[in-house]
Amino acid sequence: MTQDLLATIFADLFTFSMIGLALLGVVLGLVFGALPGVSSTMALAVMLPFTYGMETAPAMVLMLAVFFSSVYAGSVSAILLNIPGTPGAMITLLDGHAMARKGEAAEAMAYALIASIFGGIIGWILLVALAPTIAGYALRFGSPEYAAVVLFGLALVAYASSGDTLRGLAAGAIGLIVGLVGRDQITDVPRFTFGTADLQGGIDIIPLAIGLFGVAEVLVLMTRPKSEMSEIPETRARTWPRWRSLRAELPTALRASTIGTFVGAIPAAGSAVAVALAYACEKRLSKTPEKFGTGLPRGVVAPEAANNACVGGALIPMMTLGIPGDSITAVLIGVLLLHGLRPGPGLFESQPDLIVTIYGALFVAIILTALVAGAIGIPVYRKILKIPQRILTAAVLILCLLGAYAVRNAVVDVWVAIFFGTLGFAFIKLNIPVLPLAFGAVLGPLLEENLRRTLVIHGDVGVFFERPISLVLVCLSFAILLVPLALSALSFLRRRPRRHSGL
Amino acid sequence: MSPTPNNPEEAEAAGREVINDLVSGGLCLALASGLAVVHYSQAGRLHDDFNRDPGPALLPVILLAALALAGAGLGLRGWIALAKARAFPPLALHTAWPAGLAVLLMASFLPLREVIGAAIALPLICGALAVLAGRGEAARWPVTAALGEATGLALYGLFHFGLSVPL
Repeated sequence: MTQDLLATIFADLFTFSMIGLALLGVVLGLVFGALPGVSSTMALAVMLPFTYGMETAPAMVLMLAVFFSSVYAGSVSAILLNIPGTPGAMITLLDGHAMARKGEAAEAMAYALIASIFGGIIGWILLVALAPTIAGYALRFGSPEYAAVVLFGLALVAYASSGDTLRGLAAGAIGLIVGLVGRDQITDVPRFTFGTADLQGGIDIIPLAIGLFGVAEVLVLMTRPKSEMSEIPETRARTWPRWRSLRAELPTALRASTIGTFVGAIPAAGSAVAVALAYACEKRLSKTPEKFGTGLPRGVVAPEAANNACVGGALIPMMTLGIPGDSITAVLIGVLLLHGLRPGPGLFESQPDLIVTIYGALFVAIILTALVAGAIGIPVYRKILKIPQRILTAAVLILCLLGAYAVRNAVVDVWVAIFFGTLGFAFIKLNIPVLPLAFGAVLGPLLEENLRRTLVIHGDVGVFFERPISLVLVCLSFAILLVPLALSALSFLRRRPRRHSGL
Repeated sequence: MSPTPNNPEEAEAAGREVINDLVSGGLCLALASGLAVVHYSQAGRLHDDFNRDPGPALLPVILLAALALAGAGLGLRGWIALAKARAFPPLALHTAWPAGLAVLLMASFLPLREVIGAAIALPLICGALAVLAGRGEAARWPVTAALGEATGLALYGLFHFGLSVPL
């Protein structure tokens, strides 16, 4: 395995075209990630059309480079402008911007970069170490276990996306229904096609992702009041912390990276949860917790290491089980589906070279991010941040339109992107999580296929409770969905008598 | 949601959540019933008996039921909170007009493409979107429009000539 990985990295990925693609991806990811309001998912959605004509391996190299570097670059606007470039950078700004206001922006950026690279490498190591084992185990799954895994993933997403299970459940159900649109794969009977020929083939996941994560986010950006940017004093272009200071942050980076990887591997938990957990953990362990938020390097190292470790973590369920770890990996699944590949344990058997290429591509993306971001200093970032938002907004919307059309050169895909963009905008405004919808659309066909295969082979649903793995997963899924509802009903009932008695 | 909000911001946020619950609950119920009508009125083999295979009609029914239940739950939660609360922030629908206009501009691409061609339609739409996004900024709108049109033309060139997409 190690030999394969090294051979792939050196022979296949260190070619002129692959390095060029990865470099382009890193640069674009740094630009997109640094811009406030442009999330990593939006960056990937915008980059999708450029992968249509590529082979799978170069497409994944480009997308993973955009993915990793944009996640890191979210810290740039957090530190320099006090606006998180990506959701994962929302904790970084507490200490990062405080350091910048003290004239230590270059130090904060250096700590953020080093922690991001460290976190990325730890996440990558855990991905390479754990993914084959999990996939090997998952290969022994039958259809009941697989259906239960998908159900468990969906339940987690419905629960974790917003903390509001009812809204998550509604979004997940809509997503699953979207996944059923078109001709049934087993009986060839059309469902929810409204009599149109355009929907007979189903709703393609790429225009849906472009709509939900590209168009919708830009529409929200257009209605948001212009935020006040905090000016920071002039500072050195770049600087590097001393080795002794870095060594003192090593345990923090290690803890945060481990948290980031494992939280990132939980479907829908995402980087926002990971950075908050890592920061809270460091604050609790610190002898001077009151100093957090005042410009402490540790307050930058912990969230940034966790944020970038999430990248490797999110790829674990995507590659081993075919379940996206977050919205970004949902888009990556779209890329693989576009190339006729379904991620999951089968991919480890049928496409071992591609798996090794994905590992290698992520590693190359980490190293290139370190080199490019390390080479450019604050003046370059200031220039990136001065790109007019109005032109960027218009360009992203046009890219979304063209990207949706270019999937199959089909007009219906443009309408799909516009429809899901509008729906996603309405969801965001109504505080309904968008992620369960995307997950449902990706996982719906998989759930139905395995559920029906189980029923055809075993006759009834009792089989889910006879096999240990499916039993545990189904029970956990119901617990995740029903316990919060039961608890809120109980707390409501407890409050009622008190209020009636006037207390 | 806190039962007794402490300050005006919290009260406003709680009020907004009540409205969100009511609106999303209503939308879920409407969607579930609309799709149920489509599902049950569909002719052909959809509702046939497929022996041990539960058939293509089972999962849609389960999902529509789940959607209706979630909608009813949201509506009920909103209704209970509505009964308890005293005042609500007004519905801020007017703030969504730039998004609505942007959607209309994007939707105009397909009919415009048929009439004037994508090479003209795309720059026009991109320019209009740039002016819309830059409203309220200090930049002059003709400059913004020109920049947006140039960007639209560049993107057209990239897709049509660079990526060979037949626009």
